Amino acid sequence: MEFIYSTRNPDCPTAYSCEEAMHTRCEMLLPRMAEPDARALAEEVWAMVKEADERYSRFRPGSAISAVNRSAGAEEVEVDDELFTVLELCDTFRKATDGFFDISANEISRSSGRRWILDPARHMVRFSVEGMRLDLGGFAKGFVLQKAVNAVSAATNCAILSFGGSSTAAIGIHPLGSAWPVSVAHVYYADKAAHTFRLENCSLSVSGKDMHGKGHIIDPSTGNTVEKDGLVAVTGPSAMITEVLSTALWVAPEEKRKEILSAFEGYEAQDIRCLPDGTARVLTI
Amino acid sequence: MSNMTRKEFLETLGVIAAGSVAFPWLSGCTTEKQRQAAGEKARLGIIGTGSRGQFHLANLLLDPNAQIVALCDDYLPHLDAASALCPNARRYTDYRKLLEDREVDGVIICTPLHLHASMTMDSFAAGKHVFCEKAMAYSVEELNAMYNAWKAGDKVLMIGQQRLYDPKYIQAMELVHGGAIGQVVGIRNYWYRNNDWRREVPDPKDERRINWRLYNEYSRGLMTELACHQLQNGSWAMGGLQPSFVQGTGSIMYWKDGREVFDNVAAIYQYPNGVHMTFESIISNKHFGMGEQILGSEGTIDLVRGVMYNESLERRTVLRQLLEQIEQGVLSSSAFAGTSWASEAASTSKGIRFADNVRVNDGSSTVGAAGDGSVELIHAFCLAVISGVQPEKMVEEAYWSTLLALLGDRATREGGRIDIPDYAGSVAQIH
Repeated sequence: MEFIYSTRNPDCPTAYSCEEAMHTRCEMLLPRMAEPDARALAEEVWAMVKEADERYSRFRPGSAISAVNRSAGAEEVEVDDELFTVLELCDTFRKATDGFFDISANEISRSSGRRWILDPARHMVRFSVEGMRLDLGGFAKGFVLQKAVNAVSAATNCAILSFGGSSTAAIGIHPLGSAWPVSVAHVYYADKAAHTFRLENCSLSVSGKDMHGKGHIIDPSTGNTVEKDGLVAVTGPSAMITEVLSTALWVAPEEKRKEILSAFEGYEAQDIRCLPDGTARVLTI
Repeated sequence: MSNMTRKEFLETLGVIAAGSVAFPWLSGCTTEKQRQAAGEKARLGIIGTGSRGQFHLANLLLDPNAQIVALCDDYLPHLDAASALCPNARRYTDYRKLLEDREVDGVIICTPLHLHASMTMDSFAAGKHVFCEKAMAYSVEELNAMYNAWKAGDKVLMIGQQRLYDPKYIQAMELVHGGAIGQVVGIRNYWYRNNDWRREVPDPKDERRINWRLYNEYSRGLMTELACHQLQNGSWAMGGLQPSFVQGTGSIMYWKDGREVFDNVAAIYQYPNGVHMTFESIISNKHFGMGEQILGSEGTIDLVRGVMYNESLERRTVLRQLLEQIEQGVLSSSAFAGTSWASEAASTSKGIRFADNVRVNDGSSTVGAAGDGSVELIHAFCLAVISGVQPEKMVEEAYWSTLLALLGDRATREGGRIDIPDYAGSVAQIH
């Protein structure tokens, strides 16, 4: 864990902490907290995040999701309460997004009939198709970020957390005045903003290709990486739901987006197209 | 234009023109200017109806602002082939007779290089607007004479530098000039083919007439036929700054078939700020095809593929930026979020496509490639003939492309270093 306690602004001492987890860089900023309290809070949150990383990463052989992926194609696998809840949530979101958010989407799983079957009474999970695999990567990031937000909110009303730059959650307002200003970087110009959001008790999730042009989101209908251009940014109260929605809306065809978004009250989304002249076309979905 | 409707290409050109104030030669192609030209036709004559002439002819037959009224070639098989495409056009075997044709508003010159300057100047004297294929002229002396003749008159002159009208090049240069790749630190151009560059010669007596590209009397070989296009990238990317000197070398090392021009060349141009531009061509290996790359301190642009690669993405994270703002007691909006943070090196990057529907030109065609700007360029000439308005800076861009090609050719043949300002004078500064 990296921890910095800055007193350069004596009116607003601020703790910054960073941890590598969830295959990305997780950070938090805790203004106006006493150093020992901030350090203890950061340690507590990062411990929770790392534990979740151990449980939900399909790249870790010992994780709970790896156990499911190994065996659920052949037999029922019993999972604990939290993982069962996570799988139920993912199934709910899959249905609510018309299938465009799907944790079973991957390059080897193209069957339209694939799904995971949950037995609520026994907390058992089984795959309908052998060879299926669940990837909680994106969902887990939003889910864990929301858990981190809950933990930090219990200790302070002024903080901001970011997991990998693509998922940001603001608690309260900026210590110097108004909402937290967070800009989506212009794809072509590293020092320019494509669009600026003002976050107050609000989360922001951005999906699309990164600055290397790499798309890492799988289209559930094809099993291929989504190759289209542009970014989708979603804001709303829950980091978990903004993560789900930004993924689904980026994958979904333009004509389906509004319908998907309308099922989630309190969430807004923008389609951001960066242009070579340094400007950006921002359309509200 | 097989994959693009006429309407689409007109719209594309209009949209680009409207959004690109930095590219003054496009100002005559805005949607409004195209609307004003609706229903009007430029009456054109094509001088030189070989492969390139027929390529333009085929495009012009689909252009709503073009009417081909005359064709000219002193090689009858080429003239017959063009006539078959456009049977109503009058036929000439002497271009001077075509220039006397009062129904011809403008001419399209697609003849061997050594004829470009004289035919262009004769056309001006006959009161015609001129589109001349690149390179502009066979020698520096002819280049300056041609430029001066255009400057002294009031007729339109456009040169076949189609990259100036290619959407992906325009968008790329917008990125370069906007600072997206930082400071330009290098320009790499290469063009590889694996063929002898020969055209079929039915009668041996026509060898030099048909394969004029291979003989010094008519051609400057790879430098004027291929490099001329790519060297323009340098002028464009460097904002009009021109190189101080060129060094080069070349040889005939594979196609030892009686040709006189080199079958492989390499030339290096140095700009006053120390930046180098390279051009390399080999026509006995095609593996790498055609490449044109602008290298910047913060990124790379692959012009041919329409892709930009970022060099360094280790920008401070959004929370680091916010921390610094709090430390400084300021509240701004310069904290950047984005898609997922990634630590991979730029060399593994797939890059960002900055142009839609890019048709990658591998450089193998010796006539013209789909989607390379040729359609837009020839349409722009039609609009210029109709309006009588010269596309700004077009001739200057072409002048410098040809000058660099000609001096590069001299460097490859003579060796040593050639100081470019000694030849350029001040007649055609781009900016």
